[in-house]
Amino acid sequence: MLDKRFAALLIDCLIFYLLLFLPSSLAFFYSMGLRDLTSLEGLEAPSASFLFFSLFLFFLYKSSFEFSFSQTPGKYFLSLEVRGAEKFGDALLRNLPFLFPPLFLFDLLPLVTSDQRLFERISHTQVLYLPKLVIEV
Amino acid sequence: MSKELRMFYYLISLSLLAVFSAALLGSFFSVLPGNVALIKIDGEIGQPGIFGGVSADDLISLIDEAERNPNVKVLVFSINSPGGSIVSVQEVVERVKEVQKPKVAWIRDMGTSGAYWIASACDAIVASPFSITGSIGVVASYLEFSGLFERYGIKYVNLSIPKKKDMLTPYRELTEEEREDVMEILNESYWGFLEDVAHNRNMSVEEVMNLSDEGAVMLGKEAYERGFVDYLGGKKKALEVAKELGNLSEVEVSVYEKKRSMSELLSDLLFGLSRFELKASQTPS
Repeated sequence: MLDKRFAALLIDCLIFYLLLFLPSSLAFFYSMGLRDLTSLEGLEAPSASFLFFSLFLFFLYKSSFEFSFSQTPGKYFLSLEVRGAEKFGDALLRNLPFLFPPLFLFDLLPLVTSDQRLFERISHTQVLYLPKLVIEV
Repeated sequence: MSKELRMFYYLISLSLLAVFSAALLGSFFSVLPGNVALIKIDGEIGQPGIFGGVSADDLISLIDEAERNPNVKVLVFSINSPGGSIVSVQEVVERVKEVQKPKVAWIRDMGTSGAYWIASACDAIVASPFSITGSIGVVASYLEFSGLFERYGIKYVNLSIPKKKDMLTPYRELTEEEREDVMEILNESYWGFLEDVAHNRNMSVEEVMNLSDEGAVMLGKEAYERGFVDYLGGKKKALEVAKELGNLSEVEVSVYEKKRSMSELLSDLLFGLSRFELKASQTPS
């Protein structure tokens, strides 16, 4: 199932990039008053702020979708569902490594022996593969 | 409403929220829009106060700001200054040289001594035919009261170790040896200034020394004829040169100036007055 989860993450990244990251980066730099976006030299502080903003946005995207619909668009396409995210706090906790990426060092370790990441265990959530039943006649 | 449709609307709402938040965040880092940064060097360099003057730190931070802004393609220094402290001027000159973007110096009423040194570090110098410029040299002066003390029967007692420790005290005349020491310092500073101007203007030291006429001030027209200025003209000419150096299709100027806080204004008002009195009394007779 890990391959499906990874594919779902890639789809989410693509959707996030096209519908959230790209428009918001244009809005960010346009509101800064920049006319030329070919070089960001000398703009280390604003770029770092936007990078953190993007991480937060992706964290919010995953957490809010998983809490509201039990799946992100990527998981929807691959028939995966998150079970156990009864409260918004659970969804935030399970996605915490997306906000602080160094946490992945610990978060991914349990995947060697099981299908649950460390923060999924802590938040008592789990991703399940639920293929849609298609009846053909 | 189907789950798919609700997810789609939710995604669009999230996208709009992200765009709005990003625009709000970006506005905190807003930069000036112009492709030409106009940095004013008004008054004495190193001595800011309510009657003019600018500190090296303020100038350097404005240069930093203009250099960091990707919109800025050319820096134009609008100079109206008699020069200033050699250390402050040299700090600004070094910073100007580090800037990778094209730089134009536009000398207005006055751009003499240290102010000309800063101008020489730019890629081109524009001055009005009637601007006062030149004065390539160094000067040191102080008030000496020994005659006044003598007149009122006041004696200055010097107990310093070693003997030159109190040199430049206003209570006694300089000895011949001390005068030579001070002249040596001035000479070193003068040669440093001269050599750097010569290097910046692609001239020989001898040329600069001969053409600068013993540190005399000169009109912009004379300076142009002697090779100390590249173009004669005013703001229009300076912006034309900036346009050419920066390969700009159109010029949009943004003025870079230090925003003074209320406490700085009050401090200038209180302490600037006393400094003004002191400076006025130091005017050579």
